[in-house]
Formats: sequence, structure tokens, C-alpha cells
Amino acid sequence: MNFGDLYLPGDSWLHRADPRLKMGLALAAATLLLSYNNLFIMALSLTAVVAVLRGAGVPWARLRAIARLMVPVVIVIPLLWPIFYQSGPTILVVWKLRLTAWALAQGVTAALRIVALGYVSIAVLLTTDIRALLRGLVQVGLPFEAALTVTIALSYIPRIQRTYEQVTEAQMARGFDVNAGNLVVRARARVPILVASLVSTFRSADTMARALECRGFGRTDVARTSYFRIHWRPSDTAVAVGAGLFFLIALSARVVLGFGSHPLLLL
Amino acid sequence: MPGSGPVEALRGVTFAMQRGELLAVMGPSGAGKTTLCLALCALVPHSTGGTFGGNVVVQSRNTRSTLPAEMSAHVGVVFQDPESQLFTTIVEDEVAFALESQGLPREEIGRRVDWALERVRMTEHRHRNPAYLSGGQKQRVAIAAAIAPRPELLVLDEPTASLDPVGAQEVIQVLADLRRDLDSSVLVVTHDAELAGDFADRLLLLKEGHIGYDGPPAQAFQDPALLAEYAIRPPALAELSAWLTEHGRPARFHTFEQASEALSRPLTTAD
Amino acid sequence: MPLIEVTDLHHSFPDGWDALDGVNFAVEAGEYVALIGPNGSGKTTLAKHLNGLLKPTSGRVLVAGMDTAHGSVAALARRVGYVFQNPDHQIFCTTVEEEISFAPRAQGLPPEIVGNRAQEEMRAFGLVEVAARPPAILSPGLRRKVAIASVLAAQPDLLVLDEPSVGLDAHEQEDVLARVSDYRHDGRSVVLITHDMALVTRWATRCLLLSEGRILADGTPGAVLGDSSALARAGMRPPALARLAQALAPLGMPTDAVQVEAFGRAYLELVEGRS
Repeated sequence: MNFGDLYLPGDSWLHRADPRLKMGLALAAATLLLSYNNLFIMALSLTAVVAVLRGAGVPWARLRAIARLMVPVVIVIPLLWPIFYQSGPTILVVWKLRLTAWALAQGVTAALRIVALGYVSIAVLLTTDIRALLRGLVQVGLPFEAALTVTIALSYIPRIQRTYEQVTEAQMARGFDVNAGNLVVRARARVPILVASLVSTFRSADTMARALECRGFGRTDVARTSYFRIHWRPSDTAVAVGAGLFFLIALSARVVLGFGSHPLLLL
Repeated sequence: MPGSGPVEALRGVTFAMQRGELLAVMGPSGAGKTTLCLALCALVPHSTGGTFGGNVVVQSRNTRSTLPAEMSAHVGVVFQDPESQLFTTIVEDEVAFALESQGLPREEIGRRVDWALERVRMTEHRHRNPAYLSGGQKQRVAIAAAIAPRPELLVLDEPTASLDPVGAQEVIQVLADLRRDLDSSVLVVTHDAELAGDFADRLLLLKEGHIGYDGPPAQAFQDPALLAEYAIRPPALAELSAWLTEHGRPARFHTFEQASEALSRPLTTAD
Repeated sequence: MPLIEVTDLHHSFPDGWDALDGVNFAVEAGEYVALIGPNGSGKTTLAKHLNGLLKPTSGRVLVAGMDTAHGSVAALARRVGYVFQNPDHQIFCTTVEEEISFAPRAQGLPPEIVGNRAQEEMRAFGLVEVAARPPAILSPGLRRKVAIASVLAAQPDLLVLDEPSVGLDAHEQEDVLARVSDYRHDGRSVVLITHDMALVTRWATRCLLLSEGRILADGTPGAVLGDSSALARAGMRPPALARLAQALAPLGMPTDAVQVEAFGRAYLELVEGRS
């Protein structure tokens, strides 16, 4: 299996849901994640997001692989937080740095938020095939040219990855030892691989641009039609109404009542 | 070519094609074959730039005043590399793309997608991702995408050059079938003399931007000096007939049917 | 001692696909071996074992006495040159001359030898005029020549070529393969992966037919390409002359005459024998 292929075919409710609904849900979830700032609520939210993805048939291995990409950020943020955040009961003092309970909670909350945001934003791509995504983007108002560019870029990721692997093999066969030496040596050994990968990628992108034009892409004298359709079903409306209500209540609780703004205290 | 100053890819090429005509174009690397293909679909000069003189007219549309995207309804193009000319993730979307660009109603698109996929024998693969198809299958999808708008002219730029023999044979078979089913004119650029000989009514030999031969393939394939001049490997059977002629058994064939008939006659009639 | 010795080679990919299923053969120095077979038959998988890019799941591959399962690809690269199908994957220098000098320089040879080797290959491939140009902007035919020249400049004992003729016209093919053939005459060996049966009959001294990870036929190009039942089992279409010979076989035509001259002579003999 190829990690570049984000889409995981399946038949869960999330797979069947209209892509516009999924984009709306992701946007709402991201808004809530960014507005809440409480460790317990964030932990609960992350659990809920993971539960939804697991329910949609996303295997643990894939969730771990995505989390691994976020590891550097997740480690750095809790470490940086105590420098800027000094209030609350002190836990530990190292030289001039004071680590408070609230700073620790704040850091962990921020890290959980990054992971949750990562999962939410990738959830649409994991459960929507490219053609449905394209239709969804166009029907929420993105120009066709822009939407097609986004979806071609997404489907290009696996190709670039394949090219990179082939180029690596070709360079190893020429006597490059891509895994020998210290970090600097290894980084330098990657330069020719990147150069050759880029040249190959540009070359095929050029052919693709020509092929697109020869199939009428960018034609301005007639309105484009679409063969594939996405369907908004009653169940989508039900989910949209339920999620919309939840979103409004949760957002007003946060904005009007100030609920969930403190890293540790709930009210 | 960048870095080497302007290069004249084509210089004073003049030819006309009749409706339904099947034309093969052959010649050495750098002869201007690809430039010719790009000129027919208006990519030259609109997308490539460069200096352009003369006129290319397809079914009364001059490429000077027609953009490639508008030309797409009238000229279908298949490129050499099966990978990079496919850009959707579902076979039927690939075939539908040019029809959507023309703004055809959905039902009509459906009918034409069915028709085109059937012509290239890819109906059973219509819901697959082209990325997972074989080279020959990818190229057949590209052909379906090009013929779906029912263009007046179909241009194929070395459609079999990147394929293994099995894939190449699939494509050649599909092209042979299209000869019957399609009322388009077809121009195919190829290095494969057997493909040109089996498929085309007429052969153009191109070198350094000039047309040096315009006539029936059979005649050119019996002329080793001409083929050598245009860097064409003669079909093995044509080579054999030349060899036999040279060794006292005059023969003239370049297709399998002609050869097996001509060679079995002396072995059977003597009885 | 043979240059290549492959013993009971098996290779399974992580997804469970058995690409090679018990391959045995040996190649002597000086042989020119064509590796043919349909896509997915294991040709490239087998070739990648010759320079250690892939390691055997079981079995053994010896090249010039070295076990390719041990030792890095970089170390094996000095003995085994590998030209990939897509020349763009191996080209990265800013001039043709640098590209061709790269391998001998990386081997630590003195500058004058590096220079001589680069000159020699550029002359042999007709690249002198473009020596100072960036290879990436050259025509496909010239890029292919640069890719092969830069591997030959390392003077490996074994040269592996994966589909070197794709995208070249007849003259360019002749140039490239004639140079490769010269190279072999100094006691070195060539393994050629190709779909082009005309190249097999024109250049190779021996032909291996691979199908589903096994060797189905091993012999002279005439014997293998004339073996229509083996080709049929592999799902391959015999070349035109082989099909013609097959069609005339009931009338007494030998089936291993798959070259124009061999076919012509056999046919004349047959006709004269009748009259």
C-alpha cells in the first residue's frame, strides 16, 4: 500500500456522506478545536475524532502513520509553553524557568489540538475519493480550474513518491551510498536525487498540461458540464442539522459563557 | 530546445488529408514529428510559443484563431507517455473529461463514454483507477478519451513506443478496429514500420522539418535506401523480401498474409 | 569461474508476491544475454539482484565472485553498471562532461584518467559537441546516450541495460547498441532487458525467456524465439519471421530461422530441394 494514496475505499457513513457535508463538518470541528482551550475537553475531542475515524474503517496503522508526521510539533509545543506562560501553582523550578501546572496543561492541550486538527483535516481526504472531492469543491463555489488543480496535486503525491524511489535506486546503482556517513553527508547525497526527481516530475507535468488543454480544459466559450454527480441525501441533512445545533451550542458556551477557556479549570 | 537558440522544427510542410484517411508519419528523432502533432491541435503556437508561419486548417478551423481547448472538440490527441497524459482517478472520468469541457448534457456524455470504452475494450475497467492499469490499458483509455468527442481528426504521437509488445499489440488491435468504426481521419506518428504498414493508407516521411516522401507505405518499405535515410528499421518481412529478391527469388511483400502466401506457393504448387 | 552465478534464486515482495520462483543460470565473461518475458515476469526484479538493489529471499547471486546479498549497492556499482529504463532518473549533473566523469571520479581515479575516460565515451557516443550543455535539456536520444556513457565510463565488468532502445530511432539504436557490443568484446558481459525481439536477434549471443519468475527457455536467440510453445506459455507473441517460419513449418521450414539471412537461406535450400 502506498501512503501517498490518502483515500481509503470503504462504505462507512462517512464514506457515503456528501463531500460538502464532510467539508462543513471538518470546518466546524476545526473552529471548535481552535476556540476551546481546556485539557479535558481537548482530550475528549481527540478521542471523539479518533472514534469517528475508526468507525469509518481507518486502521490504527494509518492513524499512527499520520500522528508520526506531527511528532516534532507535538514534542516542541509543550516544551516551549512554560517560557511564555508563568501563572498558576508552581510544579518545578529549573534555574530561572518556572514550570507551572497551568503551563503544563496548556502545552499538553496545544499538542492534543494539533493532533486533533491534523486528523480532522485529513478525515475528508481519507474518506472521499478524488472525483467526489472535486465535485464537492466545485459545488461549494471553488472555480473548476482551482478545484482540479487541488485534486491533481493530491493524486500526484503517489507519483512523486514513486519517482523519488526510482531515482534513489538509479543513483544507488551509480555508486551513491545514500545511507552512509553523517547527517550532512547524507543530506548532500540526497541533492542529486531531488534534482533528478524534480526534472522527471516537471517533464511529466508538462505533458499533463498539454493533455489537459487537448481535452478542452480552460475553454471559456462554453459552460462545463459534469458527468459524475454527488448526492445530498436526507441522512446528510439530519447530520448537518444535528452537527449545526451542537456547533452553535458549543460555540456559544465558549464565547458567551466563557466555558472551556482555562487549561485546567472547566468554569 | 532551450539553451541552443531557436531551432526550426518544421520548415514549409504542406499536405492535405481527406476525411477518413489513415496517415502514418515516420522519420528520425528531431524530424519535427511531435511539433507537427502539436500544430494540428493548436498547441503550436498557442501554448509552446515560437515563431509560426503558414496555416493549419482542420475542418475549416484555422489554428491561428482557434485555441487548443476549443480545438479539442475537433482534434483528439494521444501522446506517447501513458502515465502523464491521464490525470483523473477513474477511467470513466478520464473519458468524460473532454465531453464535459464541451458542455454536453449528462446523458449524451454517458452514451459517448460507453461507446468509446467499448471501442477500446475497456468497458469492464471503467470504474478502476488508471494508475493501476497496465501500459497498454492506460494507452487504450487515452485513445477512448481522445475519440469520445468524435473528432474529425485523431492524432497519435508514438502511441506504442513506451509499451511492451503485449500492450503495443493491444493498441494496434484497437487502432485496426477503429479503422472500421471511426469516420475520423487518423494521423499516427510511429517508429514501428509494421504498425505503419498494417494500419496506414498513406505514409509521410519527415526529416529536418521537410516532407521527403508522401505515398503508399508498401512502396517505401521496398526501398531500403529510403528507409535508411529516414532512420526507419524496415519491417522484418520487407527485409526478407528484399533479401530474397537479391538472391534470385524476386518477392515483394511486407505483411504477414502477403508473405505466407507468396512463400508457401512455390512449396505447394510444385507437387 | 562464471561472471554471474545465480543459484535457486527466490524473491518475494512484502505484499506476498513471489516475483522470482527458483531461478538458476550462469553467465560467462564475454556473453551478451538478452532477458525477455512479458511484463511482470520478473525481468527487472532479477536484474536488480545483479547489483544488490534487491536481496534474495532465498538462494544466492554471485557476481565476479562477490555475493550480492552482502556488500552495499555502492560497492557493487564498481563491478556492475546498471542503466535504468528512464535516463532522467540517473542524470543530475549540470554538464554532459561532468555527468560522464562522475563515476570514474567517485572511484577516486586520477584526474587525467577521469578526463580520458570521459573523452573516450563522449567520442564513442557522439556527445563531444554537447559536452558543456546541461544533459537535462537534451533530446531523449541524447539523454539516453549520456546515461549509458556515464555508466560505461566506470568500466564495470557487467553492464545491465533495461530497455535501452525505447524512444530512439533506428540510427540512434544502432549507435548505442554497437558501442555496447564493442564494450563487451573486452571480455565483459552484457545483460539486456528488452521487448524488442529484433534487438535480441541482432545483438545477443544468448536469450533467457522468463515467465512468472522462472526461466522457461535458455539458448541461442534463434532457438528461444523459434520455440513457439515456450513463447505461447509465456504469453508472448513471436516476432514476424518466427511466426512465418511456424506457418511454413508443415512445408518443411525450420522454426529456428528467425533472422532475415538465416530465414532466407533456409527457405532457398527448401525450395531448391524440392525442384
